[in-house]
Amino acid sequence: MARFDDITGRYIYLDVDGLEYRVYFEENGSGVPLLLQHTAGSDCRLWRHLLVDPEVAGRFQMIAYDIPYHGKSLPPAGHKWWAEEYKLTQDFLMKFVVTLSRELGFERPAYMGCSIGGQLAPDLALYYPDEFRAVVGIESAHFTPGLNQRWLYHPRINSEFNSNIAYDMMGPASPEERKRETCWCYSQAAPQVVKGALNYHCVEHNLVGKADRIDTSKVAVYLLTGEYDFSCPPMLTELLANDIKGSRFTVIEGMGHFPMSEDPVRFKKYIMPVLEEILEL
Amino acid sequence: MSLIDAESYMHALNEDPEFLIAARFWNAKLKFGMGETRYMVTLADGTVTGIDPSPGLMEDWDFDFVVTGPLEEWEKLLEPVPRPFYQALLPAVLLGGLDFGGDFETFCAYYRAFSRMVEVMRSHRVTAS
Repeated sequence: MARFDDITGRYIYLDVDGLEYRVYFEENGSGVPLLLQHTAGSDCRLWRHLLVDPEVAGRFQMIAYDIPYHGKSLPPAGHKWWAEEYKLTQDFLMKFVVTLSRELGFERPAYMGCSIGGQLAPDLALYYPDEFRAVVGIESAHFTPGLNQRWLYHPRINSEFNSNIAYDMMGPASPEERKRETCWCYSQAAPQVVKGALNYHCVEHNLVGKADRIDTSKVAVYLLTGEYDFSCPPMLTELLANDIKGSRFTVIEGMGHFPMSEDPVRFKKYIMPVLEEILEL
Repeated sequence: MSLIDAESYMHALNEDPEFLIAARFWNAKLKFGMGETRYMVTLADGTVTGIDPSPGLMEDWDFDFVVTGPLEEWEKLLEPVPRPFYQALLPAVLLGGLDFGGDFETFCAYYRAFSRMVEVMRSHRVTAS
């Protein structure tokens, strides 16, 4: 008898800014819609452990998607994307997630994302407060200027560099197999994708002077950051949380930049209280 | 005070399967400055061919990449379960008290090899008697 995973994968066509995108997503569960955003250069596989958790799947309809150029979601049709440098913009990413949510027929779903997805959480709360009931940002900050990005997409450096940095961004005591799987997903990105996606993360995303305008009476904001994340140290997330009145901030002890994939068992202990609160909204 | 035994560290690296993959084709001279002690690590075609624990003045300048810092900072890096931001070389430089320099392209190309060198060093560090 074949043993199948509980996750189902599908494709959906989305129009964003006049271009058509064939978008891959994986889903499981029933209940409150919960959109799950991956990190720069990776894909929805980072959420696979949460997707199959029976306690969560019993109460949430989880949708983990690949944004264009990532995972199984291709670049847009009818556009010479190969003749331009890939740069993910804040405007596109916000429109993309809102479009996906509407096309799936969701009304005020919850949103959770990590890294670029973590930065997107407060951006969605600020710019699209009527679209979501709650946002959960993992590894979020006002802004996170990155490393010298020239080396993230360079003809003489292969993309293994990006996944190797990802390894060092995780907690030293997180399970080795989970950390290696996280890196494996990273290593499968097209060479230009990490640098292109970090255009949003490290260049465009900036909530300095804006974060205090987020209204948590309209959209609840939860922020969680791994203790070992040197790309977004917890202190930076705490500063953001201090600016968002009514938000809640938690340090995830022992973990780094990828809590949901580097140690899904321990991540659940941190995320379940948040999800329980979202069910009550 | 030395944190590593040069001879056993070299053997450990050359017997470490992950390091040998990460260091493939690597020809380089690396300098580790641990407090007052200098180590010059020589690699040829992905294998460590020598670790000199007391390089002379002329050899001391001849390197492709250098990592330096006070002994206390190396001790933090080499703790069995390192504290936050000392889990690897890069964060220990960015947010800690270690410093590095040299050919950054080499550093990026052999990033995992550098990280693995630290991990092997961590498991083979000399403990104070």
